[in-house]
Amino acid sequence: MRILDPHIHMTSRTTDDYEAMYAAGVRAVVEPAFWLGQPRTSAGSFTDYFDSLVGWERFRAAQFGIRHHAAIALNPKEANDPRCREVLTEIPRYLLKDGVVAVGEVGFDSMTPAEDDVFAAQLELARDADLPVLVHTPHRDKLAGTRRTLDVVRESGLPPERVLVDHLNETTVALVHDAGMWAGFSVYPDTKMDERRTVALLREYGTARMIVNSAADWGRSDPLKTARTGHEMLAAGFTDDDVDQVLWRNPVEFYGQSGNLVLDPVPGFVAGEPPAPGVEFEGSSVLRGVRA
Amino acid sequence: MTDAPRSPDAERAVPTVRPGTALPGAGDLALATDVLRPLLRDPEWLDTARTAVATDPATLPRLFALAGRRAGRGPLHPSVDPTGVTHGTVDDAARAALVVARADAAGPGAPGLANTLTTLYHQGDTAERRGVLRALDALTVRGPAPTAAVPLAEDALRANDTSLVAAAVGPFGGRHLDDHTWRHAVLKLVFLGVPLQAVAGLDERADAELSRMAHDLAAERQAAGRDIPPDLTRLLRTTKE
Repeated sequence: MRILDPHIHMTSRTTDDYEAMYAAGVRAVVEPAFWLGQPRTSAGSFTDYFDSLVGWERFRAAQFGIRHHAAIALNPKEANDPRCREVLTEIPRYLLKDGVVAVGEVGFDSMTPAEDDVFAAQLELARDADLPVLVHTPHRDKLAGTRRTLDVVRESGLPPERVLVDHLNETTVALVHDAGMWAGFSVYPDTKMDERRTVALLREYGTARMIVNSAADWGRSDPLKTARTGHEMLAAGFTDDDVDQVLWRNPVEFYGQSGNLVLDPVPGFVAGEPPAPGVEFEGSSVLRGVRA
Repeated sequence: MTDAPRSPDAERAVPTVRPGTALPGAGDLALATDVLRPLLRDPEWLDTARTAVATDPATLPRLFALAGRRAGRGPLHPSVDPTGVTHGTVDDAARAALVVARADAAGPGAPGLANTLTTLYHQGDTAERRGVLRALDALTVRGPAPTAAVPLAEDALRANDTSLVAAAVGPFGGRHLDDHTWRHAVLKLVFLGVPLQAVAGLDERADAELSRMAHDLAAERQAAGRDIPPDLTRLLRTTKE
């Protein structure tokens, strides 16, 4: 089973997670920029975070044989803080970086006028940078929020196939599917979706334009939920090819529209062996004792 | 340099271009673009990009960011350095070549090169930061380099990404880092497990203080029941008293 987790916040995860993900078949990830548990208070806090997404985190992932990509954006919650909105002028230069495969996560949190403005502005940045967009749908008032999300996307004039609308469930999938956009499902231990309900929706809507992610972060979540959903698909009678489509080919097709996915194996990485350069020395790097 | 290599397996194909080093690094290849050319994914792209940055400095940040996608990202010496950490990568050399083209167009002693490099570094991702450091190597190999860029090498030495640390101890760092910083850089490479081939002019610059530091580290490792890595042994052996 080869897996591209199209939405996971690895900054919040451990090296044990990277090892377990590699063992489960994860070979590539996309980490969208989002909020931390603690609100940020300045644009500089964002640029350090973005630098980390295209720098240190990519290095860390590569030590475990996993190709790390990023989506860059000002998230909807922090779009409400004028001190944070200043980062919008910095975002275009990040959209040029190697391995930045989308603008995201954008969308709504509380559906405020500030969120409206920042959402629309960033859809324009995506069009200028010729990148697809990862859209977050709100946890509260989800159905109304998803409708409004689709309106804003339509007004932007972006082609529907360039847009992935995430965190969908039984009540919101049809709207997105009918709009011709990509439908994303975040499989969580007890909120959002679970494996069985996701498989039921795959049966109802088919495997085209359907995307499954773990959305694992600093909250209760599981970076192996993509693999677990794949196994649940097989148990429900889907073929290996169906699983490959949903867990690999679909996210590759969506983010591949950026022309910026890197999917060849990490050079020098051998599964089960410490990565080169030698890791047998004590040091302050993540290289200590790595095993795949 | 008439014998252009056909194989991407660079260490057989690429001749030594800097006396005293076993293998040419990314900074060397930035100056030997005829040798670099066959290693590139899209050689015409680099030709066009070098012309563009020579004509219009405003094009440099964008072309610098695109170099990995257009030039390729593979290691320059794959069989001895599969990750490209020690000797650099194809995109390192391509980025350094862009800076050299810009520096040539601006002319010797033109103001602003250090500022340009500082902005590229601070606004760059890891690969772009490496590209800046390798560009400083290229400038150093062929003449004076902007010493106002020394803080960039010092910044890279504070990183934990092995490729950044290795790129900071090339010819530029070897010539311009102060003794204390340089010794700590060498020891950090040993800690990180990066081969000391990354260090330009190691034997020439190694001194009694580096020797003391290496002996203390060896004693510490012995006390802990750990192996002495070959590079630490080399440091004990080659360091002048």
